[in-house]
Amino acid sequence: MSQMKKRDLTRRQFLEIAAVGAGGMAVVMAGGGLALVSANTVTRGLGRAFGEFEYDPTKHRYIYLVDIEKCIGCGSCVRACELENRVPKHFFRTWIERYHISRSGESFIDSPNGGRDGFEPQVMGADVTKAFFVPKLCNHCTNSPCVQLCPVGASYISPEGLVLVDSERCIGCSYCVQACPYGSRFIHPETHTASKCSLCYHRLTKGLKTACVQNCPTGARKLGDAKTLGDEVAQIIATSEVHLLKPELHTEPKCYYLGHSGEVR
Amino acid sequence: MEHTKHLWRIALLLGLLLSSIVVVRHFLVPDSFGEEGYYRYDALFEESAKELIHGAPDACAECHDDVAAVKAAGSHAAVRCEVCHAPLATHVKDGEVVAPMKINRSYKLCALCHQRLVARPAGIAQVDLREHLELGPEDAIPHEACVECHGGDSAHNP
Amino acid sequence: MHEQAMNYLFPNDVHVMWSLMIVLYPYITGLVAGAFIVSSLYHVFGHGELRPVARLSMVASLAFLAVATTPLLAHLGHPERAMNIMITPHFTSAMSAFGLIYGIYLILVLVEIWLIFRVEIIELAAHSRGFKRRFFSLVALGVYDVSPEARRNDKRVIVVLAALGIPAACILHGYVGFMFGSVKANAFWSTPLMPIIFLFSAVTSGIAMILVLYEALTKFSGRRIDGVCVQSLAQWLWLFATMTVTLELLEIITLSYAQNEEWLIVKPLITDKIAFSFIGIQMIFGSLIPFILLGIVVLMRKYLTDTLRHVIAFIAAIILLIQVFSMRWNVVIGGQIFSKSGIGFRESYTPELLGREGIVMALVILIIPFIIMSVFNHFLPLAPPPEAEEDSTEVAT
Repeated sequence: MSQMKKRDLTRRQFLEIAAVGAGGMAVVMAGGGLALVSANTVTRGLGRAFGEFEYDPTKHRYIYLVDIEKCIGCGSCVRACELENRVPKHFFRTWIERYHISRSGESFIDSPNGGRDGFEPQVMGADVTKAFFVPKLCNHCTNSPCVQLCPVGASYISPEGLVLVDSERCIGCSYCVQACPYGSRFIHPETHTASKCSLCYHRLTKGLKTACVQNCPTGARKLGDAKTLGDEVAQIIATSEVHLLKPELHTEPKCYYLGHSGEVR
Repeated sequence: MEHTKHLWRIALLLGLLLSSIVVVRHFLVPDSFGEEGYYRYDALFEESAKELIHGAPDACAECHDDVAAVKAAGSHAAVRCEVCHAPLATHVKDGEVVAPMKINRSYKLCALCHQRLVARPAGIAQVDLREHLELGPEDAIPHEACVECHGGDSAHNP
Repeated sequence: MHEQAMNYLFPNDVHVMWSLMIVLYPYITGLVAGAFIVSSLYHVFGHGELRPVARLSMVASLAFLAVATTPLLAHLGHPERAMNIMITPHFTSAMSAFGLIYGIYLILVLVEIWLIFRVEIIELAAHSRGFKRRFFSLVALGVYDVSPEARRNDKRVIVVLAALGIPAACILHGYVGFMFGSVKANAFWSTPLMPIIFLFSAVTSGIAMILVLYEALTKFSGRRIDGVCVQSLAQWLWLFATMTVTLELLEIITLSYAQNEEWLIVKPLITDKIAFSFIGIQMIFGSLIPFILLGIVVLMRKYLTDTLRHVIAFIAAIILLIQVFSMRWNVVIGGQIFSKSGIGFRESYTPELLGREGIVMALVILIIPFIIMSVFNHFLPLAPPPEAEEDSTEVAT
């Protein structure tokens, strides 16, 4: 927070200098800017607000919970994500995997078109003893390999802890695609830049939930905020047996799984 | 140090090259770069300015409170309208209706959730469509097979 | 059943993102580093028998360095933003060091070549007129000092630069290997051995290229091939090729012996998916045959005629150039044809013929250095100057 305040101070100084230099109109504008600055620490000057909604990135730390036992594999989340984020065909910001585990421990995994069009009944030759769906998305790792390996600072961790891509600076080297252990990234076939789940940042900043969470009919996907007191998801994570994907890689995901089984890749 | 004039010249040349690179680089760094972390801070604003496609949770009820009431009383209460219809932005933009809302009455939509699957949790109502409709393996499933019986003309309250 | 169990790809893992161009890039930087090491063997380590290839290897290093960035540019989604890597280099990323390492190395090689050819440049400036005269006097930076003192100073600087160039070349190429070795998400890449393997195979490819170039150029210009030089190159080549293959095998043996999770995907990869290019080309054709051929050159030197030695060494060097390329291919492509799910393979990758990342583009990129070398040779001969001229100021030996 001290860092934020310091920045405000310099911004204020800057605005004052600009105001004196540019005369009356500028004074009014700078005044407006100042008012905004004091009202909201990150609303920076005129025309740079996060919409009308007052939003401070530093006051949030989003966490995500997937309840495997609740997922019915309907694909609503995948379709919602595709529409909300204009995800190109055959690429996925989120997808659903289906697991069939046989008595002898073999796993049969499929994800036809990422589960976007639901799943067809499948006749298994083996004696299937358990079966379940696993929704996947970007884990928004705290120790994220993709951000570390981005050579130009186009992949970054936002103040909320989200892993985002600056598509204006991305050079499209696809090193981050190689680095992501979860297969969450892809190179957008039209923009030729890296693309991935942004946790619907444009929705979060307006106080809305992500498209996938909002459209999940069973509540298998939950969005929480670790910086909110008494947050439901934070409470579940704190008190239940939750799992991370590929914990051995030490990426520190912010996406937690309830009812996780060891077969999940 | 005699006879080293050429060496000093090339050193000077390299020095000039290096300092010009440093200067040019300085001007090419984007304004908001490094303000918070090692990235362009303005990218956050651009990301947040993207268009909303799906509406707020209660957006539909603002105009369709009658339908919302019917739905809220049924077993689809937890399922948001946009799941079966389409995102709000395809219907309303800036408070104006731009196109009629899509209505999908196909059995395929219902099957997404209610087709019996081994992996599907037991808590959810599910049937094997052909078995349920008493159809043979070759028969075509009628388009509106589900809504014909369940919930009258729609599945708002099946 | 097992087939089905063994094949699940994450839905985004359908395309091979790093294509033929990324195979080519480490191949080219390997040639750059390897050629430089050859010239350093002469300039720094005093291997006087390599004098016939000292200049050639320096210029070859520069010529390949000049095109080293082109495969990257051809591959980038946004080549016009390539300078971002210099403007805002994110130093937690191995790739961001590219601008710095490449820049330093380029300056080093340019200055060293300038000093090596300075006398010839001044002569050219003095004996020509018009634009050519102005151009070469500019290249000489306007100083026409060719006194023995000046040339002695040059020698001293050359030795320092050549010595500095060794770590620079090692870093330039070691970092390419590191870029792969540090990707912990990839079972086939993630090993600390990777940069070392890349380095040794770089030196192998560099020596092999210089041997081939030297024999071809000398034959072509009707001069006599220096048997001692070829013998020395062949011996170095044998040593480095042996170490390279040992390291390459060591990586696989360690994975197999430790029986870690990685082996579950690497085993079907190398014994099935890339069996032809890995076992067939890289290991048997590319490693075993040159090992035997060069072994003959090294161990039976007394019994070989010059011609026979040159032919055997030439063939072995060509095969090793193919071996190193196949190694790059197997690492880059092999590391991408399995999914991060760890239990599924993509369809195998075939490069396109035309197009930005195609085979034609790769051939063009590989031909340009030879054009650069021949243009260079037209003005400043790559063949060593007569012995007597240098004897008085010899510092290298």
